[in-house]
Amino acid sequence: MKKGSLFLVKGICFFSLLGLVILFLYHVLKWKDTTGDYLSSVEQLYATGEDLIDVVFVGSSHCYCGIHPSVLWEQNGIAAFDMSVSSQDKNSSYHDLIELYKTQSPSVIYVDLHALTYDQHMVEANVYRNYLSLRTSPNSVALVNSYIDEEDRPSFYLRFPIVHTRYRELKKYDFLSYPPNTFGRGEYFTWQKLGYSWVDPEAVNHRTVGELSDQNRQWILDLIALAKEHGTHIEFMALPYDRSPEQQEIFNAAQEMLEELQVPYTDFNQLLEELGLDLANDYCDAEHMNADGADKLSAYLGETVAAKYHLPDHRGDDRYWQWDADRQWYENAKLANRLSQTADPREYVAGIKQYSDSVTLISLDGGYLEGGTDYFEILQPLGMSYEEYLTGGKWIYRDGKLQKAAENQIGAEEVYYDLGRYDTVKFTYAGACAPENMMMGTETFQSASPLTFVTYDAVLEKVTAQGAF
Amino acid sequence: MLFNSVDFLIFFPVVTLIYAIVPKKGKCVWLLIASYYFYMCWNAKYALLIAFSTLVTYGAALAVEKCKTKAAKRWLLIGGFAANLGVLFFFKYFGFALQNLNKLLQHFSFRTIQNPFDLLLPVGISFYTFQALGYLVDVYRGDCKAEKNLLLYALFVSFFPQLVAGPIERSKNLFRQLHEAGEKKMMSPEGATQGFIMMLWGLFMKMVIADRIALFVDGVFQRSYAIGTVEAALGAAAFAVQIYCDFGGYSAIAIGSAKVMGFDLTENFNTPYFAVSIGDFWRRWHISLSAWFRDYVYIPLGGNRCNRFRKYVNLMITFLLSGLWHGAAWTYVAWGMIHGLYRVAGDVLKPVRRKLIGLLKVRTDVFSYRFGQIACTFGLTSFAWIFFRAESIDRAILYVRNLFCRWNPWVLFNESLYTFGLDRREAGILMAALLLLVLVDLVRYRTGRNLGEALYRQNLVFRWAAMIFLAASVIVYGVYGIDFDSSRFIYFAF
Repeated sequence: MKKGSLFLVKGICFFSLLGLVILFLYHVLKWKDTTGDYLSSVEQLYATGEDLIDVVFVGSSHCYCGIHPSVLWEQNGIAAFDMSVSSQDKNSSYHDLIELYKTQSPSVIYVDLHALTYDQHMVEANVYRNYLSLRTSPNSVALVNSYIDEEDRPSFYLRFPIVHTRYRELKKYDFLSYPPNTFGRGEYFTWQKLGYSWVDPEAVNHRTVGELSDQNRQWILDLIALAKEHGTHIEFMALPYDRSPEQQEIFNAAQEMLEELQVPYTDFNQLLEELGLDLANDYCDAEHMNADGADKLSAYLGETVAAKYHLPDHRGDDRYWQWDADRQWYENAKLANRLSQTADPREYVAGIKQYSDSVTLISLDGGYLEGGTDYFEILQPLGMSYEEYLTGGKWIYRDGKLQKAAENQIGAEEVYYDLGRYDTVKFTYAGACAPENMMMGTETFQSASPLTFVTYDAVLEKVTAQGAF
Repeated sequence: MLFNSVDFLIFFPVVTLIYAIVPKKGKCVWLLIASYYFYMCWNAKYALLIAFSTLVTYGAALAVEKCKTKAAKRWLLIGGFAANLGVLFFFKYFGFALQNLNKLLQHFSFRTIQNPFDLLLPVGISFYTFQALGYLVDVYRGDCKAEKNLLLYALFVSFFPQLVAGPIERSKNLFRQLHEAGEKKMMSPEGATQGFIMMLWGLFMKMVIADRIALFVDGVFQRSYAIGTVEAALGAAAFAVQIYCDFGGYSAIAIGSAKVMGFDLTENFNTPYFAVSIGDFWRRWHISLSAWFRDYVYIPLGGNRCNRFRKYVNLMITFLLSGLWHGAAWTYVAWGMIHGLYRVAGDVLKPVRRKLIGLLKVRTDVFSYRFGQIACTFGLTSFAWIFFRAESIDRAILYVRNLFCRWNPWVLFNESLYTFGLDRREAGILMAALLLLVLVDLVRYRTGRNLGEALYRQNLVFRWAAMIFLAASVIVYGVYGIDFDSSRFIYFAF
């Protein structure tokens, strides 16, 4: 081979290798959440097989907190998806939909109009969430061009100029894929309660019609045109939250415009009673519903969509495994929340029996025998015999089976037990109820109480609930 | 267009690829177009200044060569100098001169003069002006022939890798290569590889070290009123490293990018902080400028072939001019003066030094002696850099006062040094990068080979691993992007 040709071949090999290294670095450093804490609806969309999604809900945090596709799945077998990003703006929602249309052909799209109330992002991270999450394509470039200043665009195209400083904050899921991103359907769960009613619930009755800016009008028209181009029904909605009168005026103006265009629109602030929303208990803050509120709204939406669009029931179809997994995730999260709140050990035991893909560590330590057979009665449903109960120690409950892991005995050998791919629990005995008796990394689980439960979710690869009784 | 910008990332491969496929006769034309485009990315109008400098020196050189009498030649030379230095003065020193004149007028209670111009300093004006003037002097002296091909000469003045911050090329070196580019194949696999490595190393020096250590330097100099001896000493030493990595990094990219296209530019830095004396330092630091001042200022003034007093005067003039070349401010003049004084004092004290060495029986052939020399030279140059970096002479004096009058060793132990812009993690990255810098400079010092040459001699696997490591380090640990738009090469201001 000639010297020049050899150099060319070497050059191609070198730059290919360099390209692979850069791709790997990008994979590690890239912006990874659209919802918070590594949860990304965009990643979830990319993980979804082609032509599976029937209903898409487009919007910001109001959407992913308030609409749970898992409820529509469980109740109606509808394959719904929240195509939502924190503070999803007008440009972002439009281009996110274009991205979705690359692989999906939904029957109906519901768009939350919250984006009408702002033109600029107030939180820098939300700019990154909205503008750095799509895979690089003409669509992502067009998205960047629609909002980012010309001077900053190259940084957004190349992404490294923005994300490279993330080397300061790298964590486990920058290197591994975050499990819920493979099966989540865009929603976010929280059971936190606001605890009081909205500041101004009367604002919902504010009927003055404001003005829609040209930008806002154009956005609505563009979305309608996009849906029409893809043969999709489109509906607009204003999800229920504590609005200012000024915001309500914008929604009223949008309603007027949509009525003229004969496009369906629902203002859920007008349906609070029908939905049965309890403003103090169904919200985690004045803007976002918690899971209890989302269950109510999602159930309503499920019934409405099913009745109106006669969508097929996909339950039982293996291709829709992600909706099953998503539902299981929701059930487990709900259960974990309940276990963490409960003061009743019997409820905890009943809960872990239902908790799929989990491992529960049980410590029977200290003066547990002083209560007679109280603790035995608690643990018996897990399959513990009285003889076993008398020996105490550390136990593992997994897949419906209880097994002893370690004795409460000074000088006993340390025992290691793998909970997941990267987590191992260490049992040792340094005296009654010593904190280091049960450890994962540097985290200690042993409590001063005789009975301690630690529940590890093997899918989420983390401890999701603990109880000491 | 900065070398560490996205624009250059696109510009350079495109220019190089087209350069590689353009027929030999068109190569220089293509490079000229690319060079003017490169410059016009900053300010299109200022390309007229390069064109002006090019035309004046081109015409003057041709005329000098045709002139029969020495007097006429001299007048042409003076004319060429006056036109070029006039432009340089107008854009770079007019404001400074007026400012000082106003101070003088104020002192004598006269009315001050308003500056009628709002001028932006044309990037690289000091560099290309000196390169063009050097050529004119070479023709005047008969050291080289006047270039008849205007396009080729225009490329000599505007060749993009060294246009905005040097190296200030000598006519003999670059003209020969420009002529060859139109006649034979210049690009080679080894040149391209070595050049690419130098570009990566330059980016590493600039983006990973210089721009990172700059955060610490800025922190120290901004709080110079509150610092003590330790912070002041570290700040000065850090700035010494910053400016080396900044300018040395730039030069490495310039030399590397020219090398990729088959051109060998003058080395600009040769492990300057391994210098054993101030004289040695100036043979290693900004070599192309030092040589320019030596050949076109110091020697014409008489150099050292005159009495001792005159020699010292020549040294001081040369260093003061060098200081002024770096910037229109008294701090730069002070920096030049300090270096001039170092040289004079070094020469005056030489017999005393020798006597002391003999008296104390100091062994001069051992590592410790050499290390001591290197450390002393680094200390002296770092001290001078304080004046270079300070915003004003007053701030520099305050800094020096705190350097010598506030002994505070406890800050080495109470972690307060991490409050000057670099936290523990960033300081760790910086230390690792500095270790690599020392290693690379050591290789250069011991073998005389730059990183490009040294790595090219290694096996492919090691070479590729090193290149990928450098590229990845720049991408991840480089200071750049939306949060770091202030990073610019320091020497662009000159």
